[in-house]
Amino acid sequence: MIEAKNVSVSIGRKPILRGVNASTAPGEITAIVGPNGSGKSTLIKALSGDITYSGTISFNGRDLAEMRTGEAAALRAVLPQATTLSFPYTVHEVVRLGLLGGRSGAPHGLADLPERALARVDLAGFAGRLYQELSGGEQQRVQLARVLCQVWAPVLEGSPRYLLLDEPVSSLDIKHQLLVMRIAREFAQQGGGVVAVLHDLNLMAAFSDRAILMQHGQSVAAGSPQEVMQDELLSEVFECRLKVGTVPTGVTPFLLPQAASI
Amino acid sequence: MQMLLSRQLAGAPEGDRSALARLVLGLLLLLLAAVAGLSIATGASDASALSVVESWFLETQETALSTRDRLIIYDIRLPRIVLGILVGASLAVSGALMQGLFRNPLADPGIIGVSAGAGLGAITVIVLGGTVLGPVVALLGIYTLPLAAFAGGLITTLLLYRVATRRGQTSVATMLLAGIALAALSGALSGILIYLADDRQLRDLTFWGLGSLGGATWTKIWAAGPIILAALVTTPFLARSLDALSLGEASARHLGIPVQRMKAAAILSVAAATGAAVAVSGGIGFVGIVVPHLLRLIIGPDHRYLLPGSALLGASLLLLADAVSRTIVAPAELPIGIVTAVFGAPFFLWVLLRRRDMLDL
Ligand SMILES: Nc1ncnc2c1ncn2[C@@H]1O[C@H](COP(=O)(O)OP(=O)(O)O)[C@@H](O)[C@H]1O
Ligand SMILES: [Mg+2]
Repeated sequence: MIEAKNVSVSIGRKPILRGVNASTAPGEITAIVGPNGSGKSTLIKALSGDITYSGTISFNGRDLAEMRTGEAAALRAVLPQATTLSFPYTVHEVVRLGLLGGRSGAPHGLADLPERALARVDLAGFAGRLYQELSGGEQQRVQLARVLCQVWAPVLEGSPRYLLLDEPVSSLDIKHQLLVMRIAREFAQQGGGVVAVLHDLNLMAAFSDRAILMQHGQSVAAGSPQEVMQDELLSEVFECRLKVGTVPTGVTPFLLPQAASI
Repeated sequence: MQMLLSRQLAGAPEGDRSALARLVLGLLLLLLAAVAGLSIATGASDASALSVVESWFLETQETALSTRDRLIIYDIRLPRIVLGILVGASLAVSGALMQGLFRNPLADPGIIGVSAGAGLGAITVIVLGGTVLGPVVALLGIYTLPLAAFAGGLITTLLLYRVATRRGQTSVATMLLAGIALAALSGALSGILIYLADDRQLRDLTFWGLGSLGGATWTKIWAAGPIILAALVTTPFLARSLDALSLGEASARHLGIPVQRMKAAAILSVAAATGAAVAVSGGIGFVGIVVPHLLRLIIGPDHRYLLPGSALLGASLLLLADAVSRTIVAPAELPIGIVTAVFGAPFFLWVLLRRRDMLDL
């Protein structure tokens, strides 16, 4: 369980997050949605321990503020929005960095873990390429492979572990968007927890168990995707008129951009 | 580049250059042994290293000639070689460490003013050691000079880091410009001190300032060696952290690296290695930028191999540069700093040209 209670963040004198409450349970994907600049990345950074915050954040009941770097690294892995490298590492060398903490928990040993992680993100055969010479979407998947190596086992020694993903699919084509979301769902089904910033409300509706809707640094709605996908709520937060539909076969709501008007 | 990558050794997973890197480290060790052997066998006099080695094993009669040879080998050539190895290794490793720390292949103690800061520390001791700083010199003895240079290098590095790095991001432009400013400031303060120096000190300073291994003595080695070795010994512990740091500070922390402690250790090592090297050999430039760059082209940037490789290649190249400096205008001697600059400065320009897109200028 990740629990954030009354989390506020200010940079300089500017308040960025204001009293956000959020939680995610093992076995679930929690999506963070909201307009640009609403504080989604900042919330991920607070959960990752990157910035000072007021309020409390706990992982599996343990206060994040009291955790040492290595301890946190064994509990969660973080995928940033984008990662540039300062030196010409190969893809294999980048993915291998995920093994640094030594708490991957892979049942088959570590030797071929980078290759397996790359295959999982559909980058088999890329191990020998230079990271800096890949496309943005390929780089993002290499980083995901690295992150997966860090917490390969979703549950280690009885503790659920977490993936914190900031816009994991924003530079990916549709095939790989689905692939990445399925990886997240598999991770959750095996007992881990996932928090992901998503821009695509349809992906959120299709894959997440819970959604947190952010606006101006506050969480304005939280609940199931159906509860968040409401015409008025979305229209108000995203500042354009949106009309939610429902697929005939089920409960999954969807949004068509052509049904929206500014 | 692709060609070099495909030249991996069989058996290793694709993209894993470890086996190649280990092979290269072995070759570099052989290179250093060869260069050191060559250096000990050649010099201004015709002293024969072979006869000295022979005398270790054979109970030959001591002759006047072999005693002279032995003196030349033990007290002139050997200290110069040992000092060359220590200085070359520490300059190259400082460069590699600083590039990893600043996440930038252009960071080098010589280029961004750290050597100038170390030089100011050294000049302060040389000029004021007899008067104002007399008690300090009495207390620290032969270590005064390297420690003063260490302090100067440390202050400069800390200032640079504070100015050029914001929220874990180092701006190349700020780093280079701040380096220019700090080097100019150190230079100006050094100038004031030189103005105060007497004739004897002035001779010391000129000799030292050009960058030379010419004054190598065992005393200098005992003064600088322990500091340099201490700095070199800590670097393998920083290697994995520096690799993680190339992803950015936040990502390194997410992987479990205690980033602040690691940066402090890296800064201390750079300042110690640069300071000690500058104290005994003056301003020898460009080793720290050329050596790691060449190595990255061959074995990649993995710091577990880059750092020891830099030590070995830096030592070899400096011994070679020293050989050039002793022979090219023989029987006179060119300061080694001139030799490294003649080869290193164009190389630096070439690196700049290739990586122009990397610079946010
Ligand atoms: N380092 C910073 N300094 C000042 N303001 C910042 C900083 N980082 C983010 N902000 C501001 O905080 C708000 C939220 O940013 P962010 O969390 O990145 O938004 P998003 O929801 O798009 O990920 C934005 O208005 C942004 O301008
Ligand atoms: Mg964002």
